[in-house]
Amino acid sequence: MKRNRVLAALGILLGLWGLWYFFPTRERQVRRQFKSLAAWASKDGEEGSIASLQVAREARDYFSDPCQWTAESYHLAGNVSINEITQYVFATRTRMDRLSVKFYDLVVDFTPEGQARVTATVRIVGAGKGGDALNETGELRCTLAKEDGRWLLKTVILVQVLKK
Amino acid sequence: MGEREAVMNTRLREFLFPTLKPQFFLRVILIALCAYLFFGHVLTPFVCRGKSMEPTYHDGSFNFIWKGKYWFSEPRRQDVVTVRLAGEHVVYLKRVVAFAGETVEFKEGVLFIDGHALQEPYVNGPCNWNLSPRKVEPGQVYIVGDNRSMPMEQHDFGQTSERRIVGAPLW
Repeated sequence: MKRNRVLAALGILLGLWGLWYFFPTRERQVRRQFKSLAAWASKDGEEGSIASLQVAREARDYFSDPCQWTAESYHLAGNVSINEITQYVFATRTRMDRLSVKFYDLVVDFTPEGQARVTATVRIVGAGKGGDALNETGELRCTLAKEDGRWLLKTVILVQVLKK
Repeated sequence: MGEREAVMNTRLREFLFPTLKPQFFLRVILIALCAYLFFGHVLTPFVCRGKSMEPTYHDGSFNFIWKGKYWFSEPRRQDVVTVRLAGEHVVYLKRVVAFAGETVEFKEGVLFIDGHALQEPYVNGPCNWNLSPRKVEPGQVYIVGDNRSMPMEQHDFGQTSERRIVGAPLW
């Protein structure tokens, strides 16, 4: 009798975990997308040109076409096509030996139109093939829209936390 | 074995192998809650990454953010503060050098506030930074790292909202 109860409790727990894992809320879908984006953008060790190109072409899994970028600190603002993003990612991956992209402190909310607004801290650490080090930290404000079942970045704003 | 020794042994056994009574779980939950509140919201541990605060704080050094530092007071000039970004998992560690309404300028590595050179004993090494005068906007503070021997373009500094200040390093 006691054993049956324990098994039933375990079954219920497993069911709840399954619901949580396989039917994530919108917020968890967006968080997972950022986790996946970080893993996609990171690179550890040697990678051939073909492999770099294959990875770069996956940009369409993360960015809308076009995607609007704003970085006040660098005086950049404008729409960037998916081809331009692919070229940029490819160039960066071939130039870097090691690249680690991590997102922290994600805050996700949704507009009445169903778009996701995300604020996060991004930390990019890497080492170039020439030995040059990359160490950048910034605050991002992004908008994501669901297209073909995926949350894609529509706008990316690099917040100017420190203004020289 | 004496009676006192037997009591000590029992206590030691109870400490090392506690009986899983409700009181034990309650104690564990209380300790975990207190640790979370204390280390999450009062004294948060952090590891310094980067060289912008050398030689005062070294890359890889360990410290705590004392979040109560500015609960009842405002940051003062030359205080080292922690500045949050989107949250508090990654923060900037910088020194406050100017306040709203003041003018900041670098001339050949010397920092001028409202036209007066600021004495900065914590700055070591050569510095040739030049930055034209600029006024700190209302509600902002101007923060700079101590390492001025690195190129100015690679050093994150500038004015930021004073509401972003979340505390100061404990030592």
